[in-house]
Amino acid sequence: MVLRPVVITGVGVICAAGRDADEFWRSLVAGESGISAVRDERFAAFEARFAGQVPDAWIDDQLPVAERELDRTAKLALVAARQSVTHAGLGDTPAERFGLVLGKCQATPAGDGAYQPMHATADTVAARISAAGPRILVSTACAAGGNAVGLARDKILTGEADVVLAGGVDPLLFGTYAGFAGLQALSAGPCAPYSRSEGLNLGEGAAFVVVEPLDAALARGAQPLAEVAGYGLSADAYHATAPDPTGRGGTSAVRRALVDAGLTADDVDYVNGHGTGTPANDAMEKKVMRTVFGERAASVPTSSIKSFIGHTLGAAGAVEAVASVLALRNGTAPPTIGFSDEDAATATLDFVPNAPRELDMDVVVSNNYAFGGNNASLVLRKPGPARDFEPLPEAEVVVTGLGPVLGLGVGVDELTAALAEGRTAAGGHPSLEGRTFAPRSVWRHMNRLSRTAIAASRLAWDDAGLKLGRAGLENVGVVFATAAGSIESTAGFDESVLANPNKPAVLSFSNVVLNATGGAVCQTLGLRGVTTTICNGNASASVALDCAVEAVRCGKADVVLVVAADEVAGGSGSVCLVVESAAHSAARGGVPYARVRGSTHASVIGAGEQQLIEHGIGALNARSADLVVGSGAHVGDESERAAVTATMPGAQLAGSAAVTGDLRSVTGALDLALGALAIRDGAVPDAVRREPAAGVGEVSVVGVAPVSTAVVLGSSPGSVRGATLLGAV
Amino acid sequence: MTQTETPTSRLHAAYPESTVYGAVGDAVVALRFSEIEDEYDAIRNRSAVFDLAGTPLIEISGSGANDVAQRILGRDVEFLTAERCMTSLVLETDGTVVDQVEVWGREDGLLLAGSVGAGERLLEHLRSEAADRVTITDRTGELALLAFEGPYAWGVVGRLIDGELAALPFESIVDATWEGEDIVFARTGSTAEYGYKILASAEAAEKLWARATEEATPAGYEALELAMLEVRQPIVRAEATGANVVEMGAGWLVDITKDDFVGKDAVQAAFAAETRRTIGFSGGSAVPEAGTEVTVDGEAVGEVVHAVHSLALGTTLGLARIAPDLAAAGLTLTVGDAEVRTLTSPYVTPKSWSTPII
Amino acid sequence: MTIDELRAAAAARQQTCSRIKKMIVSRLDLPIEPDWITDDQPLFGRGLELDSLDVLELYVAIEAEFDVALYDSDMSVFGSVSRLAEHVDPSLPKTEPATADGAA
Repeated sequence: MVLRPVVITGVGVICAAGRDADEFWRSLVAGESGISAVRDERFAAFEARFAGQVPDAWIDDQLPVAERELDRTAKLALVAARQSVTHAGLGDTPAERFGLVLGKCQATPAGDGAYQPMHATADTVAARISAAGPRILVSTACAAGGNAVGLARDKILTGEADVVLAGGVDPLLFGTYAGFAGLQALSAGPCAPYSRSEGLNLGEGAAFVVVEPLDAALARGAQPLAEVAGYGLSADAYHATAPDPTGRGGTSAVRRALVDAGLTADDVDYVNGHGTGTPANDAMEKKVMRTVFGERAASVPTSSIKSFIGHTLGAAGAVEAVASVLALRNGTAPPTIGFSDEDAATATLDFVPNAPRELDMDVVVSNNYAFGGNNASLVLRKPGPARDFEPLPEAEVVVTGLGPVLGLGVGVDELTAALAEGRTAAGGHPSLEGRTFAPRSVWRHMNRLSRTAIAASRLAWDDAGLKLGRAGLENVGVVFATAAGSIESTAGFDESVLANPNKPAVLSFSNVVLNATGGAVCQTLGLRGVTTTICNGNASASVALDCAVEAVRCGKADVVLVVAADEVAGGSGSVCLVVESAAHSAARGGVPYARVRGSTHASVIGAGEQQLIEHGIGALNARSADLVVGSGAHVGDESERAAVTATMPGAQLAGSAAVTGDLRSVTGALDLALGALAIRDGAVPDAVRREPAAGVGEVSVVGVAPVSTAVVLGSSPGSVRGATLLGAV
Repeated sequence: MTQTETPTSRLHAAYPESTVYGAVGDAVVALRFSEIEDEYDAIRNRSAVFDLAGTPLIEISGSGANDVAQRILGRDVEFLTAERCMTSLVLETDGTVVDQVEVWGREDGLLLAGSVGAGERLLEHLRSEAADRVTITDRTGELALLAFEGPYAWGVVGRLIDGELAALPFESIVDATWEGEDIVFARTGSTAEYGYKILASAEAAEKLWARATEEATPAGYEALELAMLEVRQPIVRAEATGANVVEMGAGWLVDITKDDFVGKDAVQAAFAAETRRTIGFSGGSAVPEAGTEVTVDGEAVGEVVHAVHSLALGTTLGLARIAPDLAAAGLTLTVGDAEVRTLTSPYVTPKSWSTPII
Repeated sequence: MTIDELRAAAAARQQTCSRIKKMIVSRLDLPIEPDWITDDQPLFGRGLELDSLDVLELYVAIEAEFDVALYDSDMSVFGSVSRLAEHVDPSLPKTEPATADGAA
């Protein structure tokens, strides 16, 4: 099957080695490192003091005065985003066809110890470049940037967008620095990936690429720079911070990416490695190289540009994608710097030590390996002429298992009973007392969020009646959805750093990354398929469901767990949905709750949220749906209520927020679960529709008329609005 | 020591002529192949290969296998997947130790690998506890178990089988093939060095043994038990007689947070009681018999459990069961006529702890 | 030493061991009673099944509890509770183990 070729037509980057793509590339080929002693005096607290910093002037000089007051994350992102848009020569892309996928690892401080919503940076950038199409905030820690480019390709293939800006950003933050220091992962001097491997340097920066279909790019006279030929994701299912030393997870990400691209390991000319410079990473990566390339391993040049800019976390994969595009364009492999003569002489693989290498290359692989055991591999190649292609196949996708873990009840039976009795529980913590969901040695490393998510995943797994052997588990995906990750771990870590930056709570730090819980689910259930983490506020779960459906449609998975988990003041919870190809479910005798008939997401730039919702309902032909599950109707989302009233005046309206209060991403997932339950089992609470309460209200259970279709509204007000149509199987 | 009984191992034809055999429980095994000094040195400084013939290999299968295993085993195996193994005690209801087993998760149940020579008792126990609910199959005769131990055992595994397997996480299992033969490969051991085990058909094991002995030093049961003692890895046949789990110092091989298992009540009672404790000691030139009195100023305070001559320490190394108020390291006590000093474990620091896999 | 002096020495070590066990259980939030940990059982891999992240936590906990910085120590310090005791409590007699180098 030949899918529509997707290409990169513009790049933008700002990092320690350059304020734009030209300067960046010149530094790389000149072997000039951007790593220096940290200027900020607070960092004198640490023994390790080197980092890849971006001078303030590089940022501010590229921004209008009005934007210089923005936070550093937003500014870095804006600079690189605009560069890439200009580079691509984008002109009149309709806003609603222009998507944004942003990879980001760290939450942006909002002052007073609080944090902005994870997606705030994406909203800031999107508003300023008029991108109102799909908007995804992906937070697979250090793999997020590469992951974002892959997700952007998916959005082009599904036809949801004509152009997608994909990239990553992260600034140098004191707390993160303390955390890495506490993990003893920092190098005392400038890092030396693949040679001395004594630790990493942190860095900061942003990078974006403009992704669009090859045919469209050629039609508008744009210059395709590289084809995004494929990408692969995988989970180590091994450890919170350490990579699987066998390289098994990394290897499967690369292999999946090559399969996705229709290529083999023999086709690869150059590898842009993760190369953080930690002993664990570098040793693991060498294993991946040997396993993937076999006899050829030593003759496939591999370099790490982290030797120039440090580890830019969520930006890393995007910066490295830009470096890979430039390498392809210039026919030159950038070097890995920091090699001594002796290191170079004794290296077991070709790490392009210290000097760039002219190299005729067609296929480049860029790899990232992250905390939480998330791996991402991206295959870029020289763009060819326009070619015939087939549309992405439609695949019938069903929901076959549900795992609610809520203050209201744990498991489908308790939830259904609570709904039948009309019980409500605003927030509260689910009771997991007396039940074990994981081996003790694993369980005790898990924070509250991970425990609820693991419990939800196991319950959903059992509810779906899934029984897969080892080979089957290898391909089960996990898409984790969370608005804010673990508040408990974040607060605990921040408190420890505040008390003494040299004594950070490292176990908490390992759980601060947003994807930690997704990784914990993979580790506990032994799932190693495609894995990512979506942080789009309350819309996280519906965006995550999209990703799961795409993974099935692209043939990358037959079973994907969509797991949402969040903590709010006084409450926490998790809901897991097992998403499965209908064929897979039928073959094993599964009993699906509902079929996912379609979904759509659009993003907010300015006013007009009601119209976005109405448009979404219209796009799905969902006006006659038997049931509307509204995400926020009960917590005062006026736009949503008005949109439903206008488009579906006769529909029954339910919403889980009326029952549990607002549980962020969990509310979105529970709404999907309620829709699915209503279709198969006919049980839903009917929250009073025309009298929206400000919180959890009286809930009456009505004998709901048979529901054969339900439209579930997912919303992150001010950011993303979505609708998912579920139907009977 | 007899060399006339039939060795248990089907590989014994490939053993060198110098092999010294001996009875270990109901098995007749190679105690040493050549010089114990060399075999021990291989374990601690290079790499050694063991033929663990006489290890009972018992499969528990059927739909209730996990429930039954959960009841019979002291440790929690609820989440033991087909990719993991762990070590656990098997207890009688009264808390006495039936055996220490390595539990290998399998797709359709579990495989228990017990102590060398302890198969009859283990099998009998399993059958009496569970035969009516699951299928218990003795696979000892058809399978062979080989082990590698040593600070460079990972290199041997890399050369012999697959470098990727050498770096597996501790207590992982992989179903693999080696020269066309199905094998089950595990990263686990008992000497605190890098340890690996391979379960193979008896035929495949013959080939593997021949190749393995070119890469690693074949070592016998004597050297293995010595190295186990040095890192305080329980040796059931030497330590379990007349003692409960707490007296043995093997409480870590059961999990009393688990809902229930055979012997749990007895273990709980033992934890609550002021019982004797086991402590390591070294000193003296003669190796005392088990049961030799341990004294202070002529007053009996305990007795020797098990002692050997430690090659690494150059003196006697043993375990003694001592009154609780004297069961601590750093004390000078008398064993027989010799002054000994009580120790902290491990008694020998494994070189593997400071040797990375590269 | 007389038997009473030996008992006093044993008690001193057992007391430090007991403090260590309580520290480990509380810092790592283990669902067990501190007394269930045996002085001589392994701590890493098998036994208590601690891992490298736990070690980093324990360094910090040890410094807070015993005012001893073990950050650059090798793994053998964590060989057992009893071994750790003599590293956090300098008043306890050392029982340094042998290395097997050149044993044969």
